[in-house]
Amino acid sequence: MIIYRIDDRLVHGQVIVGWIKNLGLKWLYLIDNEITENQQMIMRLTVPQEIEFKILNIANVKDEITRDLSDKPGMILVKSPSEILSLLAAGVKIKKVHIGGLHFKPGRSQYCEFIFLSPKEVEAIREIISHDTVVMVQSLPSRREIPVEKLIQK
Amino acid sequence: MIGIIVVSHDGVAEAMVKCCETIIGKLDCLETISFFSDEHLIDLEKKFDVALDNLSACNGILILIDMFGGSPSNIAIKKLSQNPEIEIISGFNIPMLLELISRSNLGDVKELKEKLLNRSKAGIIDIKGLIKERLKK
Repeated sequence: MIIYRIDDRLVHGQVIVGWIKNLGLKWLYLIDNEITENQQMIMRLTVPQEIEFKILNIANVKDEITRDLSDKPGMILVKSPSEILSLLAAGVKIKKVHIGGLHFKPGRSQYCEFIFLSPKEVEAIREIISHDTVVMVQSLPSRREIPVEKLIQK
Repeated sequence: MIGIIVVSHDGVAEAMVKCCETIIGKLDCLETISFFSDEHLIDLEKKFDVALDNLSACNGILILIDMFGGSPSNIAIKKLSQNPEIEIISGFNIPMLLELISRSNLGDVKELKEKLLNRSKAGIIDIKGLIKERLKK
């Protein structure tokens, strides 16, 4: 099982406790080209040591995640829909993506309590869906999944 | 499932449970009680009785209180004298509350109490000390 999650808070309580500990995930790969040294240091400190944690650049992601990861449950974490598009463009097969949280910043409008999107991000999500990838909004495993189309069609 | 009552002064219990539910999701069989400065002890005791009544179908009761010696603690001890099966922990914290999500696969309330005690202590960390320790490795 591989969970693909879009969450602009990246590594935080919902990810560590709500998903990883709760579902017993074994690995967490963060895919991001813009993350600072300082952010990396903080994440390496807070991710539980028994979790295999990697921070990967989009350019070298393919070798890492095309090998068979699905024998152990884990999570691929990104901060926005565009990283998912890059993965799809690199030939990674993704059946389903969860949007766990995209919070307010200038240029984004609100779609639900924890989802704010810019017009560009809405476009990117439509493009992800056009790859036959299901996109669901879901903050936590115990909460109901909502198809993102329901939010962005209005 | 084991019934939990989280009790504090001034809305701390409700706020901390809300925080945990944001992190891990809904906590079932859980009641919160706050004691406010304009309330009488009898009001607080009534809240305990309502909570205990709501959890009467549960398999054991664990009461978590904010601090030892306050009014919530005093009433909890009074309830213990009426029902010796109740377990009480004082000084609850967020790491302790987060452990409650997995309580459905636990046996009895004593086992849960031990688990929460261990977890709450492990959640208190000297972060500079942790960084130094990791850098040594």
